Amino acid sequence: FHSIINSANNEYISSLLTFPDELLLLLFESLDISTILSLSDVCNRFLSIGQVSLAKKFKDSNLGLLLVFDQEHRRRCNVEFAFEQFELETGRFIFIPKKSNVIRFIHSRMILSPKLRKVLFTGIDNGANSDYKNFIQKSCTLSIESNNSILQTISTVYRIGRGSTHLKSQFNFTYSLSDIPPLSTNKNRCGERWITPVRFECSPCFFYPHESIARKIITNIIHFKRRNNQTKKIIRNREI
Amino acid sequence: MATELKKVKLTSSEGTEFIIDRKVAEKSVLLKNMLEDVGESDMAIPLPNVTGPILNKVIDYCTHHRDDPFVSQEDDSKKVSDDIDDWDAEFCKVDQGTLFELILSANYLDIKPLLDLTCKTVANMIKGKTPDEIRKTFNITNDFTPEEEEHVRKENEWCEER
Repeated sequence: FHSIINSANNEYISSLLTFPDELLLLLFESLDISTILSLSDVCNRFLSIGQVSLAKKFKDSNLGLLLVFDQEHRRRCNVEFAFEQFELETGRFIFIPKKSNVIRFIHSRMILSPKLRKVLFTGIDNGANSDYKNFIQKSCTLSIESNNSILQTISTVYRIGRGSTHLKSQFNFTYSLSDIPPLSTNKNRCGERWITPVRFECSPCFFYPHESIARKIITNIIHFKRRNNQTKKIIRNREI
Repeated sequence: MATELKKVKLTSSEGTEFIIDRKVAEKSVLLKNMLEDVGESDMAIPLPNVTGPILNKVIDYCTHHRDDPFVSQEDDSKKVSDDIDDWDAEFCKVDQGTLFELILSANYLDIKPLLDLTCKTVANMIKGKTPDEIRKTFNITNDFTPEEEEHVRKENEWCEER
């Protein structure tokens, strides 16, 4: 009698999905960040629970982001961001600077605009650093042409997740721009701009793994060949 | 009379009766509170959410750990480590279905150390696995719709990089 019930139950209960949210949350919270990220890529329910436990993990472990800026590889500046909150409605993680930072850049037709080069984790001390290199795949340009305004740079990264190797994830960097130097600083050349980082926003899949370089090269070759074939076809069509 | 010697009757979902020491039963916060509220009684406590075989396992656990000091939720949350002692490890060597039922029962009966132990066991099963391996291990289907999977294989994507 027992065995029948047991086997029937096993059939029914063979998935973690039968757990109530509170239990899943408890389970997720006992895991490390990379495992939580894997879990949140399993199915929709795990995704929503994963986001909540990830936010808690960020908060508890004092994990932050380090944003690296520069202009033509000079005037390099690092700004530390702390995790502020998880917006449930938008599913976005919000980071704000740990302390107020003002970065000086030059606006000139002779110099390229400053760039956000890297986004890195800070506050990880368990040697997991190697897993988390630069999160952004290409640097993004900050506009400093106008002055005295709040600007937002929106860019995307591609990730492996949700069954896709090209999961698109958007992130926003907000900063204020001014041509008036901060207190105790003098203006010493024209075109000077002072940037104050305000906010960094991204969705949790920003932290998913991205394609390895080797893979990327291969896909690029495939795309290149495909495109070549297509242009050849077009040329042929024209000849006909 | 010491509470040690008092007995408690429990009934599993299919009606099997278990008679155990009150001290063992009190490992469950749910039962402890019930017993305090009811006081002296010969009535069996029905546990409609727990099957006989699972209740048997739970009682095994509580009997083995009957003399463990009661840990409050706060101080043990930090202490939860990866090490599981031999008896507990042996206890957790069950099939997945049983393990999950144990978690649900530990949660229902409010036995914090058992819940921690079983959750830790599942956590160890998950650790280091890829999403696909997790789906296979726990029999979960991927329900992300194609719209959510943004396939952006734009041809010019690779030359955007400057």
